[in-house]
Amino acid sequence: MSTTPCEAQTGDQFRVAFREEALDLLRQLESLLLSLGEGEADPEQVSSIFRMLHTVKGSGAMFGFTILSAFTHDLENAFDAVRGGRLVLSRDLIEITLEASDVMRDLVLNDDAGEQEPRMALVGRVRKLVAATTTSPQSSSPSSTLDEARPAMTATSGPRRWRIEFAPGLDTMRYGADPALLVRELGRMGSLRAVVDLDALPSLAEIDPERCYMRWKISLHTDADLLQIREVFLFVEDTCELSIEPETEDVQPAPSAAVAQPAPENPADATVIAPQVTETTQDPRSGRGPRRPQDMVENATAIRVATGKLDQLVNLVGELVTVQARLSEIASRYDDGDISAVAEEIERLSAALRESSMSARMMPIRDTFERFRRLVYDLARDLGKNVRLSMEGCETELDKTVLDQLGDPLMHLIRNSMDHGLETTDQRAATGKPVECSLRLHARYSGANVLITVSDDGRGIDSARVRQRAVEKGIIAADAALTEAEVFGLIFEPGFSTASEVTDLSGRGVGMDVVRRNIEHLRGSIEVVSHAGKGTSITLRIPLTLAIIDGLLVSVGEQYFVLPLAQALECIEISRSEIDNAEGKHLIKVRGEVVAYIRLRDYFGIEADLPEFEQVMLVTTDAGRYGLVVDRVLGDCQTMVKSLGRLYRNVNELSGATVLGNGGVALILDPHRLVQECIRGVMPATRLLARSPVMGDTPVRASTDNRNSGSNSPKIVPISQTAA
Amino acid sequence: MGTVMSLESRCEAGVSQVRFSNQADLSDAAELKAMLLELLSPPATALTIDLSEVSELHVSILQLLWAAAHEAQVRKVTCQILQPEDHGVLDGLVDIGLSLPSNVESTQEPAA
Repeated sequence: MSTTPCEAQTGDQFRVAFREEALDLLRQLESLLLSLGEGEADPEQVSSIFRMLHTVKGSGAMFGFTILSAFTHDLENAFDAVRGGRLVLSRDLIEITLEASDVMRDLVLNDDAGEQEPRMALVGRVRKLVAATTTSPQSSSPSSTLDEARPAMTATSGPRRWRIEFAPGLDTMRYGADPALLVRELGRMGSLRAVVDLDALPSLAEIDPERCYMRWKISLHTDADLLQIREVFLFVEDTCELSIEPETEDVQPAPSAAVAQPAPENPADATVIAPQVTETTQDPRSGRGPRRPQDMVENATAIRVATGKLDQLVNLVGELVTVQARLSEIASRYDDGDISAVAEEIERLSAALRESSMSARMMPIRDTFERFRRLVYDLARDLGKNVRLSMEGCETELDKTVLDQLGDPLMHLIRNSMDHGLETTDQRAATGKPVECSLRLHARYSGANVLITVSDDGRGIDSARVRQRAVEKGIIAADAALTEAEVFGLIFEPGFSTASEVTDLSGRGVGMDVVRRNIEHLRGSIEVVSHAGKGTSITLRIPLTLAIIDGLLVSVGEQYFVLPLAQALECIEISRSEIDNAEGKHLIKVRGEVVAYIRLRDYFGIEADLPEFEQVMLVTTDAGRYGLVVDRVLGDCQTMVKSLGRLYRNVNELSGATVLGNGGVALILDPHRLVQECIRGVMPATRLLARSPVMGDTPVRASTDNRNSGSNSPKIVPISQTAA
Repeated sequence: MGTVMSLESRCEAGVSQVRFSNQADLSDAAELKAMLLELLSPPATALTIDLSEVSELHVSILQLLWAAAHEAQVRKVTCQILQPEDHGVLDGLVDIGLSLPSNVESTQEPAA
């Protein structure tokens, strides 16, 4: 005797997909719940919540999350009652559902369901609410167990008989759905008689065991309406043939036998089902025919793709961009029209490919913002503050990688604002402020960056106190001369806190330094503006993408730089005599407007022959228009941003490096930071110690040494010219 | 998720038995199909499918049972299905319009 033990597999890929979808749904559910006001039962929103709960329950059951499915059932009932007008949408119900969404999230994420008692307590509260307010006798008698609970139906014009024809798509089971569960769910709605048609079943040799060949003819007697019946098929509607019609007198009722077994023509077939032919008719109410699998493919507008695959795609495109630059460079050296034409075509295609692959990674910031609704809601309740959260610019898109890393910094900023910035209702009333605090999340584009602002109308930052605390902690010297912006910047120092007491939320000095670290890791920057008694506004400047940018290739001597094209305005020629006649003032007149410029040659201490004419690249920055003086402007280029590595992490003026078509390396400038550094004009001598990728083995460091320019500009100079 | 299912087969002189227990779900279908095809191949004369210890039957398994019953009929192999002892399994199927195929009596001459 041979024995073949086999274990039931878990269908991991389906469970992973379900987890992702369920988490998305729970996030949306939370946002919707938080947007609902007590007693304000916007029918569309309530229906959306019901559908989300229904989805979590239904697909949870399909993919083996049975505890989740059972737990969600009573909530679904409650919102069904709300949408049916039998239950008032109370603050209690919203609170319970929010708590329940946390439990559901745990059940989605963890295979271990944890203790049953807290879940049952929540279910008990839901049932109590429903029982207390609902007028439906069916709903007012709570079931003794979760599994026995039955959904409440909207009372329409009494029970009715429906004829349902359901043919699951061939691949329904492959996608994790179990058609039997759907028919079983229909059965819970009332009295059901079903006939299965196996006409399409192939022979044993030909059958694909994972495909579904069954069709159901169902007669259902229920209180439920068409919408409620259709909702049972919510997840498979796109891939199945489905017809739901009220049974009329002229419609032949489904046979009473559970399985149709018509008399066979051949007595030998007597024991096998002779399948019935079932034709699916159009749904006259919906005005559309049954949807077939091919419709689904044609209608699909979005698919889920693992971010790892997108990362790989972008990396490959980046490599392609580098190779394309090399091809263009080679083509420029040969006077061959054919090669040039191919090079141009490849350039055009790689640019289009780059755009497409990058856009696939861009996501609106909405989800990131929405996540904080719950945080603000919970904190406001715990702190006894009345806070109105507003969001603007939610459609602003950022690279997925960037968005993923924004969650923590934003959370710390919001917590800090809620705990320290915003006052209690009493404190606000005492100062004549509106009792409702305002917390605002705002995102907008600024060139190749996105500015994300967290602002509040709270008490503001007390700069004197920040300074005093920084001195006490030894972060700055007592006589340090700092601008107000620099003082505010101290709140991001590790261990810094002005809070007199440590709370659960903040005060330990941990958090804001995380904000700065994370934002700098994203090659972003932070700006704080605060007015005592009026509020604080913290703006994060984040690059749109960390992968590939459009740039303008410029050179100073043998050194190449890339300037982000989004910040470049125009190019103006300046002669050596104009520079000499300026008497050290780095100013140029552009159509009557005086513009300050930074000479990269001087700033970075690059020693090379001076050309007769230099080029001033006008750039836009937060501090206004500035000129960057270079030797030559070589043209635009697609730039795969490469990290400069650990040694360059403190070089603010550079946002990365890229490999050029000729194999050389160009440094990518961050004009905004470059201008900031110049304005600040302060740079500790030992701040940078690095090795320039284009200067071979000549180490460079930042210095305030002025011997090249005579100005006060900090620069990168060969280490051999600086003190050790 | 999923209780471990065991699938066993035995074949002796054209008389075979397949027995499985616990939850029979989609992930077992491919293996069951291969097993059924093998056990219904010549010189098969009789096949017993023992579902007595099954606690749950997936639609995919049910389809295979129907296909196997039909195959047995075509090949003139006696096919007997031992029904689940747990009546809930059958009741659950009947509730949604499903059932197990009936036994197939062989018309094949016994082997000499």
